[in-house]
Amino acid sequence: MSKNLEHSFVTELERHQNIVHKVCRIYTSNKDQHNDLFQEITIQLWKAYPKFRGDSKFSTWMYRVALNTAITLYRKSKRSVKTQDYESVVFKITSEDYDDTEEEQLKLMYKAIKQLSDIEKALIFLYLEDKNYREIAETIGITEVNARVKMNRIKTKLKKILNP
Amino acid sequence: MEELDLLKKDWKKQEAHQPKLSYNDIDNMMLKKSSSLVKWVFYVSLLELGFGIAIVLLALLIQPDILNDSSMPSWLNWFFYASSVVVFYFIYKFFINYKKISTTSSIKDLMANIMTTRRTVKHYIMYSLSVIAFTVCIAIPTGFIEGAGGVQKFTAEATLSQYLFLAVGTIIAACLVVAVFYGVYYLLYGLLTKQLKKNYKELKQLKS
Repeated sequence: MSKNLEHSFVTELERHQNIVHKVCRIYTSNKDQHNDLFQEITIQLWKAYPKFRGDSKFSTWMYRVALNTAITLYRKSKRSVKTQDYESVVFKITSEDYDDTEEEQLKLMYKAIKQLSDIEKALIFLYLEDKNYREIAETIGITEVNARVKMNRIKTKLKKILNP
Repeated sequence: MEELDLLKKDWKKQEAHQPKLSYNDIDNMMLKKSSSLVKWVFYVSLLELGFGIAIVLLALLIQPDILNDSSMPSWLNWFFYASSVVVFYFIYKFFINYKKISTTSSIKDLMANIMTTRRTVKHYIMYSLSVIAFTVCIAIPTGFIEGAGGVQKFTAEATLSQYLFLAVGTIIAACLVVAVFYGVYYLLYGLLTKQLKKNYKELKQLKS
């Protein structure tokens, strides 16, 4: 592949890397796994890039490839189990603006999300990313109605996890 | 759900605290090798598809005249040619299915395409196991009877217990060979696609 193509890809990914980091955040539980998954998503994005026609925005296209990689293609490495669980690290940074109760609630919510299935995590992720139900349904490959039904079920499931 | 709204707000704020990789970091990542499931499925499938071909080549290498051997029944030659056609059909199907796998499909379509590719190889394995079982069922009695001095001598002298011994021995040997091959296949296939199957089942339950 040409140098120009490589340059435009790396520039685009550098600009939109937040999306990949957020997917990694949902699907991994420590820094090593995060880095592994980020790398795998980068490789898959690069492989698929020559076919990216620009019909959709680069970021929209990224969501699909990144989620597909995280859910279907990524095989968790076993070497990374003993490193620090990064939920605790992130909470120290983000909790500055919150009071204790909110911080505790958020901590519980993140823990609850970790207990969801891979598909449920994808729905929650797209919901948190402010995607509408049409986009969620298209990315996952289900109907809009089913995306809504599934989302309601996930909310009920989260409630049950939080208030057993 | 109140907590979810709270989470959504926090999610947006976190963008500022995400790690930031440089242009060079990303550029270097592109040089690394993928360890994706599809890559492993591809390699394992090639191994499985290649297995049948390797057996045939090995047989021809050990006994080059096997197909011209006048003592072999002619239908065995036809069986060999027909098997080769079937193997090539499976290889063709596998590559057609494999080409459909794309990370830009929807999550459900990607999973379905991987499963279809694997299913083709699964059918090939079932076919191969049947051929192996069939071959064992032919080879063991043939070898046993030859060892006993040929068909005429064997039929003239064999007792009921010898017939029983031959039948039971052949069945056990065929079952053992099939079980070993199936065990290896199940380990490779089952471990690789366990999570994928679980996720696909969950998506299939939602009508598309």
